Amino acid sequence: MYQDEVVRQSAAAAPGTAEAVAESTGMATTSVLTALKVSSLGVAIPLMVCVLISILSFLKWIKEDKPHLEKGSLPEESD
Amino acid sequence: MAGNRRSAPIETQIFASGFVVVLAAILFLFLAGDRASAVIDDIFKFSTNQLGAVYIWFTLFCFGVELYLAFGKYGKVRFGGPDARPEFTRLSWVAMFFCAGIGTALMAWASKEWAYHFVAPPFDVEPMSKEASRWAATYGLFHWGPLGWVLYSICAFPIGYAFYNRKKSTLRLSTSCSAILGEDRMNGPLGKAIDTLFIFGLVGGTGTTLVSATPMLSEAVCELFGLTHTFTVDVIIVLIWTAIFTVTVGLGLKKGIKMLSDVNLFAIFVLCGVVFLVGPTWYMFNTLTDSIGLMFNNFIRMSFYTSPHFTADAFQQFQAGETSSYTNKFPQTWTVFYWAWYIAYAPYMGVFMARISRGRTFRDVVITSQTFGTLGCAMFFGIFGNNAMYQYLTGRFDFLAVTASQGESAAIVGALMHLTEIEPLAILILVIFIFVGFIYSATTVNSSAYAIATVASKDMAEGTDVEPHLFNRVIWASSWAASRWP
Repeated sequence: MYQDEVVRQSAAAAPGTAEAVAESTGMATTSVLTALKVSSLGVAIPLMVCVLISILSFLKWIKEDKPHLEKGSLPEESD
Repeated sequence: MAGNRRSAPIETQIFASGFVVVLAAILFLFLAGDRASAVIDDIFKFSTNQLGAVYIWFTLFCFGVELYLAFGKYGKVRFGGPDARPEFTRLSWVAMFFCAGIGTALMAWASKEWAYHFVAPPFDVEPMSKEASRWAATYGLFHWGPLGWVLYSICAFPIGYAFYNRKKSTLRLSTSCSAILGEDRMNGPLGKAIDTLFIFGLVGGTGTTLVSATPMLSEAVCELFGLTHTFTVDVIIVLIWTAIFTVTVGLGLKKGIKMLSDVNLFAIFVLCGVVFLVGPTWYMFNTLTDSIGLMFNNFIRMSFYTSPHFTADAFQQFQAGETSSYTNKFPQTWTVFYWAWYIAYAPYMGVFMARISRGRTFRDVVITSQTFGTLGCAMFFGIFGNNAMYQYLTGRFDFLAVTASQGESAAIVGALMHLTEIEPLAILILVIFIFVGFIYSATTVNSSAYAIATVASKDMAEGTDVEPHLFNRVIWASSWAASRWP
């Protein structure tokens, strides 16, 4: 049954795995971009930490700049 | 370089380290072959299975921050100060950020994602049932909806605020971290490491888009000209791409990328309009309406869905080696995968959106990106996904059988070709589909190359007409074409 085959593909080959990408593209698993794709997900955790730090930095800045922002001026202009 | 545009010099340390890391990864993956794939898969499985809930909480945290920026007391703060005015018209601005991030991957996943959810649905729904079709039509909207666009746009605020309001000289992720990590550290090795990580994530993230796009476009071209899908066709597709994005990225942001994005947005509307009118119009419209209601009704449930529960029987079967998992891995397989992919893309979208959002208020950036990003993606899923599902359910085109026997790309193109029995009209739709696919991919690669070149440049702050150096822009655009060779 082809449905079984699609279910098997869906269950066994998650979209983020190299096999799934290879199946979906009809390319070999050693394709550079396929591997790069999955590698990029490997760096998602450290990138998430960096993004979190940048958001916290931003929140710290707008808190520091609150008087200027309320007056509608740039921080440098008022300093 | 025309007019007053000036090239920003290359920041050689970031440029070189980014290039070396990407090259090293490619070499490692070539030389290690299957072993490398296994290692990568293990990393991916660990990060989604064990840390899946972390991605989910992080995404919701970002959602909260954006709500605060849109509706809180800082909603009227403008990038560049109160007197700054937008550099681009609203239409061009929307076109640029919509075309930059998701690219042709949207065309591919909008057409096929429903099939995976239909045969392996969430919430332990019976596969291939009426309930499964309901969730199949809905989950794509969720994955490409408000939370996805939160992750796409969140970095624009720290990066844009640092550059336009705090007057930092660079549009970099590292610069936007300096309030917490310190200016000195961000100008040193730690800052360079963060920017190198950004480049690596972006090269892979854009690779993800191209991996989805190339076979689908090749299949469509082969269908149009009656060719067999071979590696040579893939090469020709990549060569045409390379020509388009090398020329347009060379023309810079205002001429090349803006022009291509404008054309792309127009072509998208033409394609969606034709498919909507020629296809099962009322089924698509009704199903999309129903799916929007189902998504909003279950938004919190879907946002927190981690599926940790299992039965004793399922666990015993797993221990006996009869099954590969004792829980439903739907959220890890799909939702967490998407959030991880978007996070890998987030700093890039932040750099790019910040660059084009001077003169916009925080509220405007949040509401416009959420509204137009979500609606644009919903339009694709509502039209292409629902059309494919309709054709399968009515027996006009067996999407699942073709997926199993010939692959997803053949199924996507097949669903389009079965829209109408009037052959010239079907061919016209295919031609527009191919055109949009080419332009969409080109805008994605262009914008990605522009963002990397921006990060790998110094002294960007002297005006909005400053562009990264031509060599810097073209080399990154070309690197995706080169890496496309298996």
